[in-house]
Amino acid sequence: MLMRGVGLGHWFPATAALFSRLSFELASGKVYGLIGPSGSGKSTLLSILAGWIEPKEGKVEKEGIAAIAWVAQHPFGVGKRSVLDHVSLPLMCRGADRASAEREASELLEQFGLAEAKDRNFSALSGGEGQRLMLARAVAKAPQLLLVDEPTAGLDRRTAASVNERMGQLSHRNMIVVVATHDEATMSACDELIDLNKECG
Amino acid sequence: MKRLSTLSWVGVLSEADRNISSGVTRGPIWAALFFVLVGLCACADVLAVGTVATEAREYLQVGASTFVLKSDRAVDGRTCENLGNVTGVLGAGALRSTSQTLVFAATPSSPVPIMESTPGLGTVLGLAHKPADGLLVPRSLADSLGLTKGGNAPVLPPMPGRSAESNEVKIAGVYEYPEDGRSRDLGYLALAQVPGADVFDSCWLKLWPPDPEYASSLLRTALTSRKAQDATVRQLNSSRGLEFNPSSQYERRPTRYIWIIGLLGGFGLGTVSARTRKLELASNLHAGYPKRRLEGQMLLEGGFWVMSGTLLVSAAVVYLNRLYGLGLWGISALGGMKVPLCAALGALAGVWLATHTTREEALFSYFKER
Ligand SMILES: Nc1ncnc2c1ncn2[C@@H]1O[C@H](COP(=O)(O)OP(=O)(O)O)[C@@H](O)[C@H]1O
Ligand SMILES: [Mg+2]
Repeated sequence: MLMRGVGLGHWFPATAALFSRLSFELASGKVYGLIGPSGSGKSTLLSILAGWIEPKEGKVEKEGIAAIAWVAQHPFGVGKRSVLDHVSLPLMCRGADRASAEREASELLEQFGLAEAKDRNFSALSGGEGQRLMLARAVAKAPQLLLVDEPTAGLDRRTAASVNERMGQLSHRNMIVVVATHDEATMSACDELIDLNKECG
Repeated sequence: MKRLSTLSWVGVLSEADRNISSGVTRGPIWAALFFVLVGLCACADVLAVGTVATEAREYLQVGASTFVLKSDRAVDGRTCENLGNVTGVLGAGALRSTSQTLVFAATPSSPVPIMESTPGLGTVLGLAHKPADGLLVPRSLADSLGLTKGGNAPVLPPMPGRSAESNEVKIAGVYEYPEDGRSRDLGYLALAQVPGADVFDSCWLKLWPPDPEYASSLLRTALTSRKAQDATVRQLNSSRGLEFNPSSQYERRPTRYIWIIGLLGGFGLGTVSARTRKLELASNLHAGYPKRRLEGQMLLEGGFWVMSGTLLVSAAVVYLNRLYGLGLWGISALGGMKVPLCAALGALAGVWLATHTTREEALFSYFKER
């Protein structure tokens, strides 16, 4: 699977050009950092990659991308349902019965440092745990494209570190990962960086 | 391991089950809201129906749907008695005067006139069973003389009519004949029962639903042909008016359209119950949950509280129905269930529609706004 941005440019009626003539190629198994200060258009570019926004200039070429997962700035979950349930659901949606989904989900939770929190309710999670859960749930969906929008934005430094530590887990999976961030620590967990403030190609 | 490509219905059931038992559904709250809202509508309807039924019962009880054909010695007793078997007729019986009187030992100075009736007249007068042999007396007389059904009352000789050697009469029944506007014909006398194969002065017919013309046409069949011209048909009690149509009263009751409020109210509850979980639904869609199955899950969860609420409302409806004894009046239990059933359908429709119109994108617009 492959994804290519070709001469992408976008602006909103109320903004100057956010980015223009942006070209890049994204390959499976790698984590790309989308960097730039706040308001530079990172979320907008993620939405363009997801296909929710048509770019004003250029185009996005996708090959073999069927499912997309999105992790937002803040965790969202069902307060009264368990951590394990949250990760089991996407697996069940791919056809697993609950027992095998729970087995697979437990492994994922372990990878994301949530083995202990497995039976806690979502409402009992800290912000960092919540974001790690969102990553595990997104991975459980087995998307070809995983878009992560500032996963550490709402977290203090120490909890952010617990999330960044796991960002590396996203590498070498059978998916393209794009992480929008202006957190240095997150950047260092990425395989490659795309800087929105530079014109490429 | 063989993998289906999507969420199984077993999985859907299990998700619904976990949501219900963990409180994500908030089933008790929605069931309680359903019970209050729909219960009020349903009970208002039962009360309105109950009012119609009470009026109807009173109409019947005061004798407003009892019609009396009068024609001296020109009423065929057997024909009159047989009218009791006609559909819609609750009772029919013939009556004639005699020249005899009865002197109760307790009130020697007040002789009581004796009239003769066929057995069916007791039914017209509200006695549950065709009375056994003996005399029928009105409540007022029974009370003043201390007479009771099945008892014997001492009379002063000579005892007229039958059993001349006895000094007692048997009281076969006591009928209610209050001063509620009905004609006083049977207010102070004793009714001796005679077989119908003879001519009488009047034929009494109790009919439901009330229909003066139908009553009149039935009654006139009991006339022996000759003296038919001077025959009159009267309502026994005209104080409640001649016309009373229970089914049109029922159809025009003020709550006749309240099922629509129930339907809309249920729909509103169902919609809100799913709308308040919009992000959860969007998030599930994003996790790969097929829309159809998610609708199924929400209908299962909705079905749980809708059913509880409907059962509670139904219990209240049945209870009120029993208070009014509405079953007797042709208003079936299903009629009383119309409001909760419509509300239940509305609620499920609301749950379905709100789930159906929830889109995965709802999740992202939410995060954009934060
Ligand atoms: N839907 C929109 N309509 C108008 N302006 C928008 C819209 N979305 C984003 N913007 C504007 O575009 C700019 C870039 O936004 P965004 O992509 O969210 O930046 P970043 O994620 O890098 O902080 C901001 O100035 C923002 O106000
Ligand atoms: Mg952003």
